[in-house]
Amino acid sequence: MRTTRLAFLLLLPAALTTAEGRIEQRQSAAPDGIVEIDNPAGSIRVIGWAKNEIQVTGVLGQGASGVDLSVHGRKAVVSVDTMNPHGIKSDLEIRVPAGSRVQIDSFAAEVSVEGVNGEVRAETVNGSIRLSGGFQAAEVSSVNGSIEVSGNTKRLQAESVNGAVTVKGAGGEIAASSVNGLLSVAGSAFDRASLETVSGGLRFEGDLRPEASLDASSVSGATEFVFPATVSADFVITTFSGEIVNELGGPTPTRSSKWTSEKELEFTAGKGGASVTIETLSGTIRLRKRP
Amino acid sequence: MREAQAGNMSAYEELYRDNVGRIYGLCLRLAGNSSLAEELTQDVFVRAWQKIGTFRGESAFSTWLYPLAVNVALSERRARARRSARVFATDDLASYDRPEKPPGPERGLDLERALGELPEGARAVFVLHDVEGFKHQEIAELTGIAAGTSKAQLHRARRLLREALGR
Amino acid sequence: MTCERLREILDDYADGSLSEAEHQEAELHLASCAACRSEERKLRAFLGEAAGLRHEAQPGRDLWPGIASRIEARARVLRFARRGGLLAGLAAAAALVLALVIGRTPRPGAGAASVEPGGASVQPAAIGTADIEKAETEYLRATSQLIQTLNARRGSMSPEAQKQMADLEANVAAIDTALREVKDALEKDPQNTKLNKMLASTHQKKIDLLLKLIRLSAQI
Repeated sequence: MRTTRLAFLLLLPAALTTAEGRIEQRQSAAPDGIVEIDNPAGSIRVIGWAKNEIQVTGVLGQGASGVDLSVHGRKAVVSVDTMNPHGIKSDLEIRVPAGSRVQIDSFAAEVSVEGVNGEVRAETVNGSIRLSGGFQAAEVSSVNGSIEVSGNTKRLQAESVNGAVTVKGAGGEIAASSVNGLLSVAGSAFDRASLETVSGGLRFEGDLRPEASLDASSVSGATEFVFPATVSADFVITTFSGEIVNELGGPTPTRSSKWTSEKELEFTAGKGGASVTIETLSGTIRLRKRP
Repeated sequence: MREAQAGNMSAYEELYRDNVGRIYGLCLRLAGNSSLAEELTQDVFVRAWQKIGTFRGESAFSTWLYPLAVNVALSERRARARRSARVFATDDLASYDRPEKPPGPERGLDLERALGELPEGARAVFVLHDVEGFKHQEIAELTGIAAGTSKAQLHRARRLLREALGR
Repeated sequence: MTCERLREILDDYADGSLSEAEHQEAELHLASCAACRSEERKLRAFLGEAAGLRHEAQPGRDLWPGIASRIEARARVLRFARRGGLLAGLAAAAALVLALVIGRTPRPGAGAASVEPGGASVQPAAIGTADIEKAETEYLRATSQLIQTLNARRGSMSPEAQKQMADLEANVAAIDTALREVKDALEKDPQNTKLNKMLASTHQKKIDLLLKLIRLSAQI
């Protein structure tokens, strides 16, 4: 009897496994309401469209008991029902009114958002995040996942610990930071950019508008800045123990102190106007001209 | 209810007191022992608190709460069983399964005890169908198993129970 | 219909889920077969008993305190993470101290004393170092409290979750390495504005990461 019972218990997970389920749900929603999306793992693809309706399609993973789509006034919630954040992967495709404010929370799902011009907030631990299109404002953060933002955002905050952060076509205000991951920002239409890393690499490529400001800092990560030959900006560069390599012309770096290896470099390229401030502890600073 | 939704703990405590008997009863049957049932009951109410924003008030709170409780009880029980498996030696499987003896007529007692000794899958379906009155389609939606599997588990449960009880 | 067949479909018959045709056949058989009728009666009695089992039971102890404290713990963790908590306040205070210090510390190349708005002249060496140390103490206290909170939570996490947390905590080590580098540099040039600013912002990154880990630990 005891051995049989043990055998039953061992068989248990198989006995209670779910059949995978296709889902399709839709509900009307406000054109500029809040849409909260919760799916612990798998993928989340959000697509903005012209209808005042939310449509959820996709495939539920084994072990998930359902997708909950509920709209209450201007707030909609899409959530995959499962207690276990690990291992149950569901692939969701969610169409939302383009003006929505989208909030995504996931442990390990691959997230992508396109065609939404409201606000986007997305947070993952292991999943990657991809935003494309023009957003009013976006705030994205991941621990291990990579972050990719392309398209014009008026306000962008992107944070990662280990994952790479890549921003293309940057505009407006950007704050991007990482601990270990590579930060890479390209753009020309931004007003303020603040880039910070601890030990990841940092790369900037683009042009600067007349009143733009670019602040970059790194502890030990190597940094590289690529500007067109015609760039007009005031540069203030300091590094405590790193190297400064400057291809933009101007004076050579000077030692700021007799007793330490700290180096400073201040110069104006072109007519000045924009401001570039770069600080590192030991990371190299490379200023290059775009070929 | 609206107060509970607005974050008022004492309003939520009232909802808890009104519903704990039913929820604990269900968890007890699904879990087979009282300490696990107590943990599951707490899990259910913590989870319901997190989701209370999605309660639309179209039905009674208990009607909304019940399927959530089934869901939590079934999925959390697996997770907790995995964690406590470290603590229990294989020989202790019997004590893990031993059911509580709720008060009731003598015959009910036998059935409760036999129920506690059923394999978990069969027990869950039997409790949901024959004790709580859910249909197979509803059980399929609640647990994620196919309706056909639910039926097969039910028939097996009935057979095992009737054999054990000599009825 | 044979008795064998009826026994096979008896469960479905009792549940009323047979097709019209099969149901009729079963009824016909039961009408003329005493053995099967008796079996059907026993099944119905059994099902009646099952349906009559009590649905409610009261737990042996009041579970509400446990529920309330879990709900409140979760809310507390979320508040920390949203920077409303006491620890974030401490860190903010430390940052403020440091900012004041930086305001008074002379730029490299300037004179030995600096003049504050209002005219009072300040001795940078003495005040600067003490204030920087105070700020550093604040940061260390904040981080150690956060680490304590994390360790306390670890005990109630499953082994899979603990492993997840261990992986995430490796990132804290990367920041610690950076902190050591900055402090080493500061030893050579303690009055350096930029280095002090970098120290403060690296501390802040560590606190941000710890807050994030605490919030994650509530979800795993």
